Amino acid sequence: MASDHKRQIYFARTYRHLKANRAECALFLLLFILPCLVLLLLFYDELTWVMTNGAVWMIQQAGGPRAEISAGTFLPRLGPAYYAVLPTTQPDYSLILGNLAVCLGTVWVLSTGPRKGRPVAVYLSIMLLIHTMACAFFLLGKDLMPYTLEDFSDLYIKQQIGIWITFLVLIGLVMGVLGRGAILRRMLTVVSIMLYSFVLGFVRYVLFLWILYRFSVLYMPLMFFALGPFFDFLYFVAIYAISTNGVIRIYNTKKKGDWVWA
Amino acid sequence: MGIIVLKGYMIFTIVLMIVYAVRHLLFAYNRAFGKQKLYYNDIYSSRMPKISVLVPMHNEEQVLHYVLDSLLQCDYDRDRLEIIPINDNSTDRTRELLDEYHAKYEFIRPLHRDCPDRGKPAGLNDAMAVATGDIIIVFDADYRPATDMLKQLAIAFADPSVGAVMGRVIPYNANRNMLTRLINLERSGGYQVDQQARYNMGLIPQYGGTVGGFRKDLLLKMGGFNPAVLAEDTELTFRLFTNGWKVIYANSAECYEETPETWEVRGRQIRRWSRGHNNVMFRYFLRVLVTKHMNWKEKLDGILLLLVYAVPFLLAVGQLDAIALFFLHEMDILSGWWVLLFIGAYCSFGNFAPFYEIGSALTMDGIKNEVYLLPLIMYNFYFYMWTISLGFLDAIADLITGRQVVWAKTKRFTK
Repeated sequence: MASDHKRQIYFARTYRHLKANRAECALFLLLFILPCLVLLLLFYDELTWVMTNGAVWMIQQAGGPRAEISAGTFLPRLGPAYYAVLPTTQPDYSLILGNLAVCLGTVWVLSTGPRKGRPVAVYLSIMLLIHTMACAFFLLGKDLMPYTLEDFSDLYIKQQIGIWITFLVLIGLVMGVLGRGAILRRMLTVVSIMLYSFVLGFVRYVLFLWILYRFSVLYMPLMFFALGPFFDFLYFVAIYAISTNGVIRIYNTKKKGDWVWA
Repeated sequence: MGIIVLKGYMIFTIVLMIVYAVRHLLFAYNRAFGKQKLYYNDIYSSRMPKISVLVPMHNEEQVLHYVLDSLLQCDYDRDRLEIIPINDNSTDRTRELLDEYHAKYEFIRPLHRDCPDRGKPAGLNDAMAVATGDIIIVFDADYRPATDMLKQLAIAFADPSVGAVMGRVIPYNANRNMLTRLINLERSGGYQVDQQARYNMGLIPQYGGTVGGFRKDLLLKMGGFNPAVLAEDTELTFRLFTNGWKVIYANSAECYEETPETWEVRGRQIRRWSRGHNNVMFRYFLRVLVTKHMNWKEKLDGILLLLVYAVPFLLAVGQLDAIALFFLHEMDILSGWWVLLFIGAYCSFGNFAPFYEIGSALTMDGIKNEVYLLPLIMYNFYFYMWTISLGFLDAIADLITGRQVVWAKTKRFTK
């Protein structure tokens, strides 16, 4: 090649794409995601049993009462969903009024000045308004509150199983159908998300139960709507992002030849 | 009965979100692995059509020289090109600066408007009345077209079935702050994957009102732009499709724009888009369903596209619905985990592009590290839900009261 010739042609990014590997995609879904899903459905009762026992032990270590363990139904003909039963602590009026004042004051601060309209301010305002509604509910009709701490515990566990199933299906589809690169990397992404979900689900369960038992069920709606699954998506997408960045690096360096143009 | 309605609405919201999530999954798959439909890059003719480049401006002294200087650099026969900057009731030095350009370049012919009906659609109508080109190309004043941009956009009209063409928009101030970086992610997902996949799949690529063009005679025959519509671009897209014309997408025609650098400006921009888009949705929903010029795939995509700015409002109602169900002790529907699916579905939907669509776009673009910002788009979700819902309510109020819309310009940040 003459020295004045261009040594490399840089292909435009415009119409490049990757070769589809449908067999790999099908195998990933059938041999990895589907068995994982079946295992999860068969053993979610064991998971909730371990999680609930751990929560009961930790709450007792923290000076709480010895909680009982009960079981509810998540999916018919599959195992029960175990949950801890703790006594319900009702809020007193001073606590309700204090929370109400803090909520309204914070919402006012967030909706004025330079903070107004910023995403975090909007998010916090919506969440604080939910807590304000809870305060108003307890203020006007404490006895009408339909949930005990036992109900919340049951709902949390069911929601947590829902998170595990949904996350496995969602990341399975994303990694199986849209994913590229080493199978091990994709499997690791799925496993990381599921492990993080198990750990966070447990830690949050203990924390929620402790706060609701120690302070009162006034915080129940806030925990359910603000600190629940919304936060799970942060680590879900964060782990996906780490995995995708690795794929971008590989396809821009080592695997340039895998690109197809149009 | 009330409980059944509340639960029914929640299930409706879940189903709606799954439909959008699947739609975007298909788009991402098509863009990542499907055969790409090429644009008309390789058929440059020696005799390109006569084009008129319209640049609507209102108080654009800060940025107008960027767009005009970029247009002057463009590779297009000067005798087949005219540039019409539309000075729409500016109160700054826009008029003076444009006249200076006109003195230097005869083919830059500013149109000065000093009239009460300020706004992009009205300005474009007036400019089309004096334009001599067969093809109209539109750029907003904050855009910086590349040298081959005019040729790239104009060549599409060699195909007689093409009514309009749209290029790719890329922020040039992407690294200014967190907001611009997040908008850059959305733009990447929205154009590199969404628009290109819709073009590949024979669906509805959208004309975006800038970095695009259309046939002048066609639009004049259709009565020009409607000054009462804020989203004249979306309206043109659906007007063309429901009349049997095609809108095509040119992914290779990359043009740089300035994106908002503050949340306040972004919020106003999004609210205005939502108001305009929903206004078009009310006008075209039935027309899309009954038109004989669109096949079932185009109709389905058209309806989903029309509903895009209504979805955040429907989700906001869904959120209130979930809170109501919670306090009514009815949250335990279908064993409790549907609530997760509901939340999961809208999180995966995100705002304008779900996370996996953006991830695919960044892979195609080969952009490293920016993908680490993806988790932050979750916080944008509530911001968009709020501002887009306000825009939706604006559109409802417009529909009920028949009030006149007032055009508002996006603030510029270039010094």
